Amino acid sequence: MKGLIRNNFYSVNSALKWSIAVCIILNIAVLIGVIHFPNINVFLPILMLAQMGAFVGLTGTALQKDNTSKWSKYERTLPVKISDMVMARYISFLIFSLIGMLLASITVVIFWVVSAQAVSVESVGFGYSFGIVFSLLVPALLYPLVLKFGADKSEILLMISVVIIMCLFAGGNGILAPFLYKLNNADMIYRVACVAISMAAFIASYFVSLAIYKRENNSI
Amino acid sequence: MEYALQVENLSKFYKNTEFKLDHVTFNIPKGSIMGFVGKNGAGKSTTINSILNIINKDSGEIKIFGREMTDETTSIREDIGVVFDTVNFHEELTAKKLEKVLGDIYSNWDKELFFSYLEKFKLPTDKKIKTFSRGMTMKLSISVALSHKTRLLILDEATAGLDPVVREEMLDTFLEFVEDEDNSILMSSHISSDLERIADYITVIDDGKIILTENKDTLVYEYGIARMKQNDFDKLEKSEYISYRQRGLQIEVLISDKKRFSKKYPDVILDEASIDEILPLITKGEETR
Repeated sequence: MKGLIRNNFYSVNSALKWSIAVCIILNIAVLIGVIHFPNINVFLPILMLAQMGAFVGLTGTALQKDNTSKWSKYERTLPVKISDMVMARYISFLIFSLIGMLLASITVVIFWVVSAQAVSVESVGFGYSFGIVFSLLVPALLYPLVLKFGADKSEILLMISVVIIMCLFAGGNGILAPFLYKLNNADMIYRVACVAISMAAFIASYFVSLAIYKRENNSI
Repeated sequence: MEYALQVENLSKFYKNTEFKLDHVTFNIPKGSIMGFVGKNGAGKSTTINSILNIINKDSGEIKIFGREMTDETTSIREDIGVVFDTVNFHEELTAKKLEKVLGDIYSNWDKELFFSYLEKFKLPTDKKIKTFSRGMTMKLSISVALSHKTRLLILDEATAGLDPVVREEMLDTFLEFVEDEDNSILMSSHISSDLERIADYITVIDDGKIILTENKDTLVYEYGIARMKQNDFDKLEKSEYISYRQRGLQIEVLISDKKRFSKKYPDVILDEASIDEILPLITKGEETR
């Protein structure tokens, strides 16, 4: 499996380097200009989400590269079980997300250490929770869709997945608001629940993808 | 006789298409090269994909080194090297990075052997695959396929689109590979001259059915094509030929025993048959058996 994960990283090597470089530049810009931010608690979640989102985009790039190189077909001839092939992809998605979270955390630390304004727990909580939900649910939705409908449609499927996740997060908040307002820390409870659901969905997605992969090999 | 590959009654049906693999049966004895020929869409790639478990078969039995290959039997795939008609590696990779990827996947991976092939084929180790020519990518694929103590090499149109010099180099490599009598090759190709040069057996597939499996030497030295007019053709018994086809005023007749035929019909023109000539006669001609 290690070789497959390595291959996933090599396949997006350029995009990965660019994403990391852009995030580092962004963080340097934050470091230089943090004192000029009028309201850091508005900008912080946006910067966190932008960085985590950039790495979620790599999942789509990786799947598209597998398709264009026809690696997916070759992979089936390797001494690796299908479950391990699928698992390797999910581990790669998770690592992409973790890199995004790590870089977003650097932004938080910079704001916290350098800014004269107090960093609100609320905005950091929103940034992390939405970022984690986004980082887990987009690949969880995207990969089974790509297996079902083909990697040549990965860009449009990525956009559809992003829109669905944003609607679910925002819509869920709106729908549940009447029930949550009586609770203390309602936002926190909602976000923790969303993160927990995202983790469960990410794991469930692996099994869905595995089933699709095994069934869809008739059409290769 | 020990077989590297046994395919028995392999069938595969597709929804919404008339194409099917229909009880495909052939065997590859250990230490031999099987040429697998047929026109486009005849079922060569579907057969190979079924053998490799890339697609699910509907019925039949496929045994590699005497064992049925499933998703679980990864140890069999350790022994199989595969080269498809196009490069299947990410174009951002270099040969060096590819070696790291595959070294982590194959337990039998031989790093030194891989780099010795790269050296032999004069392939750069640090250039991205996207900068490689068609010949270079095929050489890279073959280097990979032979670098993990492979015992069965499966080539799906691997020499297509290569210039004669590179093809020659590839064919020599395949012949070197089967010098070890434990090693075998299944080679699908449109280029029958390649198969005539290296194959021990030829299997012809057409419309999803195996229509001929024969020792190559028998095909080349014993088969022949008789050319005659209609009145001479009418004198032949059906058991004396395999198939025929009308070409203008002449009839081309595929014969399986040149010596016997020429003794019986000394006045009939009888030519040696190349695989290129045999193929259309048995796929497009009128069959008698």
